[in-house]
Order: sequence, then C-alpha cells, then structure tokens
Amino acid sequence: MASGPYNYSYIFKYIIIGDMGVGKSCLLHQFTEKKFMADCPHTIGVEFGTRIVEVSGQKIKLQIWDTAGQERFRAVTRSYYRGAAGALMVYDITRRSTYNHLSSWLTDARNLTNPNTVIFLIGNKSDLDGQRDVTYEEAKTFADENGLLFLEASAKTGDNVEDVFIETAKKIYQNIQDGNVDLNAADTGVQLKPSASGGSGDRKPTGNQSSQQSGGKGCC
Amino acid sequence: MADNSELEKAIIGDFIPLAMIQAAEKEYKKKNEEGSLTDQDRFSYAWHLIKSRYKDDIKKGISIMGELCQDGTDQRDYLYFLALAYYKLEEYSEAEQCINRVLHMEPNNSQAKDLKKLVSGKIQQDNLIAAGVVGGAALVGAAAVGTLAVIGGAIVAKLISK
Ligand SMILES: Nc1nc2c(ncn2[C@@H]2O[C@H](COP(=O)(O)OP(=O)(O)OP(=O)(O)O)[C@@H](O)[C@H]2O)c(=O)[nH]1
Ligand SMILES: [Mg+2]
Repeated sequence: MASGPYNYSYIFKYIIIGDMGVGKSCLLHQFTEKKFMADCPHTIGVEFGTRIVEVSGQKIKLQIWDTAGQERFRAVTRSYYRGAAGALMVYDITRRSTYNHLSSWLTDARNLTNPNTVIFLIGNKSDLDGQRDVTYEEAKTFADENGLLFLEASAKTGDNVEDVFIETAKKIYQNIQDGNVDLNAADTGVQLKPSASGGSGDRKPTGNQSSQQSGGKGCC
Repeated sequence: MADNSELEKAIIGDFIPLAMIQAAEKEYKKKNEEGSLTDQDRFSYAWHLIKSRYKDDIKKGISIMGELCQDGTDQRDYLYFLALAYYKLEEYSEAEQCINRVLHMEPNNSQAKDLKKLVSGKIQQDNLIAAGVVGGAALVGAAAVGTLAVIGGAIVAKLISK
C-alpha cells in the first residue's frame, strides 16, 4: 500500500459496455493478464481490473470497470458510467443483434458520462471472420458518423486488444494536454497520482501540477 | 493485477450516493403499493441497499436479497451480493459461506475469487487478532515478512487494525 513511491502519474477510469456475451470480460482479462478465458461466466454487476500503461513517456494507471450486459443488471451498471474518462463499447461481429443495440448503449454512454469521455467502438471476435454478420465498413461508417474511435479486435488471439485500451488512453491524455480536461473537476475520470509524500492514503489531487513531479521527497 | 487494498476499495468501498438509494426506495414502495413488485424490482432495491455505506441499509438489503435467494433462480448473483453485504458488516464467516457457494457453482469465476481473497484475508487477520498477535499497522504485510511483534491483548490489537 504505502510501500514506495507511486509509479504512475495519472489514473484514468474506463468502463466497458455492450450486450451480454460479446466478450467484454474476455477483453479485460486479455488486457490485464494476457490470458483468454474460454469459459468466462456472465459478469455479476461489475468486475474491476487494473493495469499500468505508458503513453508519451507518462505512466498511467487504468482502472477498468467491466459491466454486466445481462438486461437485469442494466439499472445497476448505469451507476458506473459517471466519471468515466473512457468508454469501450463492444459488439460481436458474428451477432448482428449486438450491433443493432449499439445506439441504445451509445445513448446511455452519452447521457451518463461527460462530454470529454472518449468512446471507443470495438467489434470483437474478429478471429471468427467466417461467421461474420457485420462488415467492417458498415461499423466504420457508424463510428465516423458518431465521432467514435473504432477497431475490430479479438479477445481470443489478442489481436488489437492492446491498441484499443492504449489508443483510448492516448486520446484522453491528448485531451488533458489540450486543456480540455479540468483536473480539479469531479467526474472527469482522470486523477493526478496521489502525492508521493507517503503518510495517509488520501488521494485527493490537491490541485497544483507540482504534485506530479517525480523524484520528490522519497519515502522509504 | 490489483492488490488487496485496491480491490477492497473498488469492490467494498464502492458506496452509492444516498439520493440513489432513496430513489430506489421510492420506486420499490410505489410498485409494492400497486402490487406490481417483480423479483427484478426486489433485486434492484436490495442491490442499492447493499451498496450503501450505512449498516441499517445493508441489513435491510440482506433480508430482501436473502428472500430472493431462497426462490431458486439466479442464486449465484444473490449469493455474491450477500457475501459482499456480510463482508461490509464484518460478518466474515457468513460472507465466506456465501462466496464458497458461488465458487462451488463456478470455480473459475474471477469476481468470486477476488471477493474470496478479501474474505480470507479478513478471516486470517481476525484469527491472528484472536491469538493476541499483531505486527504493526500493516498486519497482513507484516505477517508475510514474518516480523510479528507480540502485543498483549486482543482489544489493543483490534483497535490498531480498525
Ligand atoms: N472466438 C472468440 N470467442 C470469444 C472472444 N471473446 C469472447 N469470446 C467468447 O464469448 C463468450 C462470452 O464472453 P464474455 O467475455 O464472458 O462476454 P461478456 O460481454 O463479458 O458477457 P456478460 O458478462 O454477460 O455481459 C465466452 O464464451 C468467450 O469464450 C473472441 O475474441 N473470439
Ligand atoms: Mg462479462
């Protein structure tokens, strides 16, 4: 816990949304553990995972909330959208119905997050190209029309999985650099790292940029 | 991967605002008066209560979730949230029983494994405290390193650990 300085500069909060069975949890586990879980059970409410990534020389901790797609969790999972810096919206390229539901997921994402939230559309199960039910071009057009980033990926082979998580972080980081994200505001889904002064685990960013300089007062 | 303290913050310390609980309660009461209450409504209300920071809410949530659990379907979900609720009330052996039942149904469920890890950590800690042995504030870490210091009395130990 308080052992040693924090080895990251920012925390970004992500949510993963989309119909049940599209592979949200498999994407999370592939990203955090580099493992494919073939018999992944339906998520109960939400599952939490983390990983530290590097963007433009900055270490960033991603805190990821993987939500359950089953209809009866919809009311429950809505409470996790608030304060997400990134939203990964997933459909299954072999099941058209999961693609058709995207507009409803997008409405939730737009209504329940903030205007700067980066939304990344993912067509998962790209390894099952033979069973494809949604073309790349069609989804790409949908993404462009709605201002979303887009890639097809496979949680099974790992193809493009790193990219979707890291591209999202890059875009969020760019928004910060461009001054579009107020680091002191609540609910942006972005936090400066907790000040590395040891002591209590209070992680409220106290406001000034100086707290992110590394190599400050070393604890230990 | 997330360590225990981070997991605990995310899974257990993830309280929802009072306003949301009140809204859920209003909805629940309305449906109840209309006589149109479904299991989905019960589940949703119980979930809100269990995610509260207040023990009275959590207890109420347990009683509703517990009734649902006896009805047979969707046991796994109810048991998971019951385990979470008991954990928040610091009733770790009840929490363990519930989470074990989930793991019995789905041995590879990563969410259940995460919660089990937290429950086991607490039970281990309580056992150490009961034995009157405690090492510093970071009890579990200290235990791992093996630098246990003996401080007399379970009461002192309990105070330190809370
Ligand atoms: N072939 C293939 N199968 C996949 C892929 N990703 C996931 N699956 C399978 O799809 C099924 C559902 O995956 P999950 O990750 O549990 O789906 P989910 O979106 O988390 O579902 P909910 O938790 O119910 O919302 C599992 O049986 C996976 O093995 C993929 O990229 N390729
Ligand atoms: Mg899932």
